[in-house]
Formats: sequence, C-alpha cells, structure tokens
Amino acid sequence: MSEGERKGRTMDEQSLIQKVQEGNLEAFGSLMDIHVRRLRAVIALNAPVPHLIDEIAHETYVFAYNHIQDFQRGTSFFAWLKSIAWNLLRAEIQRFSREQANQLKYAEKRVFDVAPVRPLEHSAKELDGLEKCLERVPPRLKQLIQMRYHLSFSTEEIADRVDQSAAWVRTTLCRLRRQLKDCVQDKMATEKA
Amino acid sequence: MTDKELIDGFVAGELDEAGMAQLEAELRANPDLVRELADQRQVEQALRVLLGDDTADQQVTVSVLSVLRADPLDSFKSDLLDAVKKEADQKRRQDAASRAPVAPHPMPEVAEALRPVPAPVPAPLRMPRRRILPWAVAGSIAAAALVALGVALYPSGPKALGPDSHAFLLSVGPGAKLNRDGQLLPVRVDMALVSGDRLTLEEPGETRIGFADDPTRLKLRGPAVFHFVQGGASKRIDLTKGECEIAVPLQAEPFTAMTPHSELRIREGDVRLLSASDFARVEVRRGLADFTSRKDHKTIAVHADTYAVAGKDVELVARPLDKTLPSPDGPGVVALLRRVQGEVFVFSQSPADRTPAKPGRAILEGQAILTEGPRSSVVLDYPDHTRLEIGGDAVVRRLTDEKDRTRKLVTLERGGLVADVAKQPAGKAMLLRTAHAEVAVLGTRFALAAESEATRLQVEEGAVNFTRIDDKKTILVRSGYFAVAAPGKPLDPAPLPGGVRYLDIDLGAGVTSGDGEWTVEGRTVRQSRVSRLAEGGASSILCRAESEEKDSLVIEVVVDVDQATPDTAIDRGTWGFGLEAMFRDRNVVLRSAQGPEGTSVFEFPGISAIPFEHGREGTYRLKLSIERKRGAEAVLRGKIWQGDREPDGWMIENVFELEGPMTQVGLQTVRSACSFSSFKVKVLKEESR
Repeated sequence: MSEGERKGRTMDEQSLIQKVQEGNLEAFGSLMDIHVRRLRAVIALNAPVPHLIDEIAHETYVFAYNHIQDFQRGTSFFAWLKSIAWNLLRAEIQRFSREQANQLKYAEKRVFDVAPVRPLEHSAKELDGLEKCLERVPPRLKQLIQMRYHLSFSTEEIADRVDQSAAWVRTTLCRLRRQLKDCVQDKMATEKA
Repeated sequence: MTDKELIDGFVAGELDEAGMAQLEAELRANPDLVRELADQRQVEQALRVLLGDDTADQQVTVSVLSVLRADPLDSFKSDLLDAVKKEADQKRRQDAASRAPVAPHPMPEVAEALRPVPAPVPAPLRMPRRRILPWAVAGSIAAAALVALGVALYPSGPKALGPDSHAFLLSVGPGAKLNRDGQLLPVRVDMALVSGDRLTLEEPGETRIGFADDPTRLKLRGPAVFHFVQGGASKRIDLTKGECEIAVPLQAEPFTAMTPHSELRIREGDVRLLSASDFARVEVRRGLADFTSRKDHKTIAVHADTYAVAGKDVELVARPLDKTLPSPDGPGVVALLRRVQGEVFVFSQSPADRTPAKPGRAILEGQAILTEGPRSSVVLDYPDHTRLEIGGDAVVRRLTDEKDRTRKLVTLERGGLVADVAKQPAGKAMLLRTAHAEVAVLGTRFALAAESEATRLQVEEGAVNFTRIDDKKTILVRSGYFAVAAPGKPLDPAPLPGGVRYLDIDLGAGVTSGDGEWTVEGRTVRQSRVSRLAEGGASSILCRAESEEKDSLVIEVVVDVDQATPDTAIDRGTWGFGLEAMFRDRNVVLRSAQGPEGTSVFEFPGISAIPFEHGREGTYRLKLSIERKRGAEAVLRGKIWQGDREPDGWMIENVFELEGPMTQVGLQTVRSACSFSSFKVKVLKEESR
C-alpha cells in the first residue's frame, strides 16, 4: 500500500469512526470491511481451533461497536480491535480449556495444550512476514496454495489437477507450510536484531 | 501415511478414524511432533483466512450487523407472527387466483415485466442474512417454535416464506448505481435489495447478488441494467441489458428471469443469460430451463449444454453449444485456437450466436472471436505458424481476406493483439485493420491496440507499414519504435520509452547440437524427440544475435513441454528446458531442471539454485535478464511461470563477470520434447536505462 493510499485510508477510517460515534451503523459496516480480513488473520495465528476465528472476530466487532465512544479518535483503530480480540481470545481459551478440552480428540487437545497466547501485535508482525514470504513461493507451488486455500479444493481434487498423487500433494503442502513458518521466524528474528 | 501426510490430513480436516488413530500414536511416540502440528495448523489457518475468498469476511460483517440491527426479541417474535399471518393470507389469495381464468402474459413493456407477481411477504429492508452462531441458537429455536406455531394456526401449505425474502449484494463492481423509488442510493456490499430496485452497472465489471433464503447466486456482468422483482420462494429478476450467470439450487417454484425478449424459468441448474437490444440468449450448463420468446409466447425446453436465442427474426430452437465446432482439418479452416484463458467466444454473424472457445478448436472463414474481461485472452495459430495473441475485451472480426482467402486480413474491432507473423508470400502481405489504421507486414512481431479514438502500433522485430485510414498516409515503423494513428494527430514513428529495441533472430539459420532433432516452422522452434541417453541428453539450438558491448538484455520464450522422458524417477538424470546467451568468454544458461522429488531446480548452473517442481507437460514462460553496467559485474535475474500473468519480481538473482557483447542466443532441452514460441531478445541501452 502506498503512503498516499495509507493516508487516504486513515482519513476515511477517521471519518467513518466519527460517523459511527454519531450512531451511524452503516458506517460501522464500512469500517468493519477495512479490517475484517486482517483481524481474522491475526486471530487465526493464535486460535487453537479454527472455529474460534470467526467467533472472536464477531465478538470483537460487537464489543467495539458497543464501546465505540471509548475509542480515542486519532489513534489506531486496528490496534484497538487487536487488543479487544486478544482479551476475548485469552478469555475464550481459558474457558474452553476448562470446559471443553477434555472433549477433544487427543491430537486436538495436544495442539490446544501447546497453543501460545501472545499479544496480537506480535501476530500482526507475523502476518506481515507471512505475506512477504508468500510472495517468494515459486509459481508452481503457489498454484497448490491457491487450490487449497483460495479454491478450497480437497487433496484429491488438487492431485487430479496437478497430475500427482495425493501423498505428494500432502507432503508438498506440509513442507511448504514449514518453509513459510521458518521464513516468518527468520524475518521476525532479523527485525528484532 | 508419513508424518507429513498425517499432519496435512489433520490440518485440512481430511483424516479418517484410522488416520487420526495413527496420528495419535505418532504424537504419543514423538512429543516434538506436537509443536510441528501446532505450527502447521497456525500457518494453515492464516493461509485460509488470507487467501480465502471474501465469503467468510462477509459472514462476519453480516452477522455483526445482524446482531447490532436486531430488534428486541419480543418485536422479532411479533414481526415473525405477522409475516406468517400475511403469508397465510397471501396463500389463500393465490389459491383463489389460481382458480380464476389465466390472462395472457404481458408483452415486452419492461415496466410491466417489472411488476412483482402477487408478492408473498414484503421483504424487510434491513434484515441481512443471518449466520448461525452459537449465541443465535436459542433465538433460532424460539423462532422455529413460533414458526411452527404460526404454521399450525394458519395452515398455508409448505411454501412458507421466512423474513429473508430479499436479496443482497455480495460484491459490487465499478460504476454500480442503485435506484430505489426514484432515489439513487450509495451501493455497498451486504446491502439488501428490495422489490423494484434497479441496479445499473455502467462499467465492465462483476457484481454478485445472493438471496437470503438459499444459495441462489447471480453474477452480473457490466455494463448491465438489472431489476430485482422479488426473492423468497418465487424468485424473479429482470435483466434489461447485460449478462448474468445464474446458479439455482432446487426451488419449490421456478426461478424466473425476464428480459425484453424472453422469459426464462428454471427449477435447478446453472445458466448464462445474455440480454441485448435485439435478442436474448440463454446457455444452459446444468439443469433444464424453459425459455419463452415474448414475441410469440412460444416456449422451448433448453437442456444442459445447449443454448437458445429469442428475439427479432430469430427462430426459437435449442442448439448444442458445441454444434458449431468444426474439425481442425476440415474445409474452410483458417486457424486453430491454442491457449484460451477466461471468457473467450467464437461467433459468425452476431455475438448472440456465440459459442465458448476451447483450445484446439478450428476457426472457419468468416468467424469472429470475442474476449470478455480484461484478463481473458486467446492464442491462435494460422497454418503457416503466424500467431495472434488476442488480449482482453477484444473483438476480431475476420482472419482472412473475403476476396482472396490465401491472404491474411485481420479486422480488429476493439482491443489489443500481439502478432508474430511468419514470412508471407511476396505480394500477399498480411493486413491488420482497425477503425483508424491498417498495418501491412511480410513477417515480423508487433503489438496492435485499437481504442475508440486511436490505434497504437508497437514494433518489436522487423519493420511494418502503418497506414492511417483517414488520409492514407503511410509510415514505416521499425523495431523499437511505436506510432499512433488518430484523426488530426501527427503520424510519426517514435522510439519506445527506455530506448528498447528487439534483436532480429534468424531461427532458420540456427546451429543445433546434441542428439535432438530441431525443426523451425515459421517462428516456432520444436525439439521433437526425447533423448534416451542415460547421461546428458541435452540438445540446443543457437542463433546469431549480436548486441553491443555492455548492452543490457531481456530474453523471453514460451515453452510448451510436449513430452518428457518417463524415467526421471530413476536416479540417473533430470529433464528440463532453458535459455542460453553466449558472450565472449562464457555463456549464461537459465534452466528449469526436473528430477525425482526434492531434486528439481530452477537455476543458473553453477551460480545459484532454488527448488521448482512442476508437472511434465504444460506451458511455461521463461525470462532471463542480464543487466550490465560499466565497471561492474553483470546482474543476472531469472523467473519462470505458468499462465499469462507474469509474477512480480524475480525468482533467482546473482552477479556474474561477463566480457564483451552477446554473440548468440539459444534454446535448450534436456531429455524432453518442447516447442518454443514467442522467442525474443529485448535490448536496453546502458545510457538509456
């Protein structure tokens, strides 16, 4: 995003926030549209189970609307959303681990046990890194990623289309995610240094 | 299954019981795997959100707005009971009306067609689609109980309409305007459409419409004029102008789409409806539709993979979509379609008669080609290997001269194309015409773009005669130059920005090596035999192509891999293809080499390598950039991709000492049979960069 676009968006955002604070619900719809994808993505980087992503995003927005008068205009709305989401996610994970974790299958439970809850600011940086790392994925592998994550093809469907076995698709995607994770961690470490 | 397969199956939600049990056993045996599983799921979830379509985003937005807009439960209950009562009354009226004599359907007056049929329930204006979320479950159960109660009290039959009888905008294309009761409203995603809304799309683009009660979806392509008549159980729309793709799940009452010339009714299926000033056309991809001409009220059944046209002077008959496909070697064939991307059609007289284009299809004399959307494109080859790459939103009316069928005459009505013209017979220069200009060529490569006010020509190789139609003024435009023909504007060749020019490459004089068999057909080079050598198996063709000292170069080629050696799985070599450039003291090769899993590379041999794995057959594009500056090492960059959209950035890069001018460029294969086309060498002068 260019500096001009960023400024333009910030100005739009501030005027939308003003309208929402004046009681305009439609403006809140537009405000949600600006951040919903990134908010869901940073939650996704922390949510131990997939269905929490949209629930936390939903509750974050409802909370934000009901407390919009508390928002200080001129500060970052997205940062505010992230802090709301973080608190909701933390509480939800605690509740979830108390009530439902024993109902999970073993693998789910183990993933849940090791799921970190970090400030979403950290996840936002991870997300930036992930987007940059994605740009470096070779086109052929990008095609696999598109088929899995954009077109929601099953492994068998992908295998048919790329004329490979399902095992190849699974292995390649698994490797690719590991490479992306390593790439993101490298970027984070470099930035820290 | 291996650990990786298990992990992928788990994060994708595709593991069965046995797989889950195996994964659990692995996790118990190897605690480190838990961290890997968590990392993998984290990346998986983030990718699904980042790369998924906007449906989930919209669902969150809609569910939030739904909660924020929701009236208190008491008011919701009373609204629901009102709706149920109204539905019962409505049903009684409809039943009574159905026993009365039926009046003939009104004729094409659009306003008449727009009048809603007896409306079941007034659509709520601000009732977005509700997403089922846990906190909504209790309310839903209460609502369901109320509906059941209402239905019991007012037995109106099975077609009870809920409050969600409206439609809403899933996405909004450019230039969309919504007129409601004479007022223009701002258009935005998630907005509800109510009966009588008129949606106008003034620009090319796509607007998607959903219905609140089921997954019926409309994809409206601009420019278009669309009226929403009603939703609910008897969905009804009017397409006054434009094109609409309609996907209808099973309906109790048929979905109805009106146009000024037709009425379409479908219970289930996928159709494309085109509404033009003098005809309407329906193509049925799935299901069965009834299509009625409003001229004479004749109705026909249109089955899957057939189409029908209704309108003035048109016979209403269903025809197979592929009926017009001619044999590639049949009489009157002038060209073959090679690559087709996006929305590409072939037609003879009118776009109403169009049929979808497919690779391999033959184009007959008099047939025209239409591409819709900026990303659509098609490549076609004449028998002499002259190639046209037609871009998006283009119409090419003719491919040969009506009077002399041995001469190529292309009429470009609108849009752009790149022509790679093989050497033409003396006296039979290939002609390309637009509204403003004519191009005459005997063999070269150039790009031509016809716009409404002007025609632009850009010559990559050779020289082209460019004539302005208005005053018959002709200029010669050489490689590295462009010219614009427009009424009242000077017609002069001008150098391309950046001092770009293209080297002439005489492919026919290329020198071959290795065990390949190279043939040159027009401007296509083919290595047609797969080497069976146990080691090596490389083959190349090198052509003279001289640049100046320190010229920077960009070399590009399109590679069709026709066949690769079948035994790469055996660890005795790889297969691949590449580009080569020879300099005074060394040569540069950019190559994609495919081996057994994990050993494939995209490389500058000896310099750097990255993994790149792809299937055996397919079409690939290679690009090699050699940037040279005085007193510095050359910077080499390379990329490879599939499809017509070039990825941003470079995939590999390195510095290299290169002395002297380039003397030859070439193509190479390793144990594969490939066709190379669009081979070109762009030269960038150091001082002009």
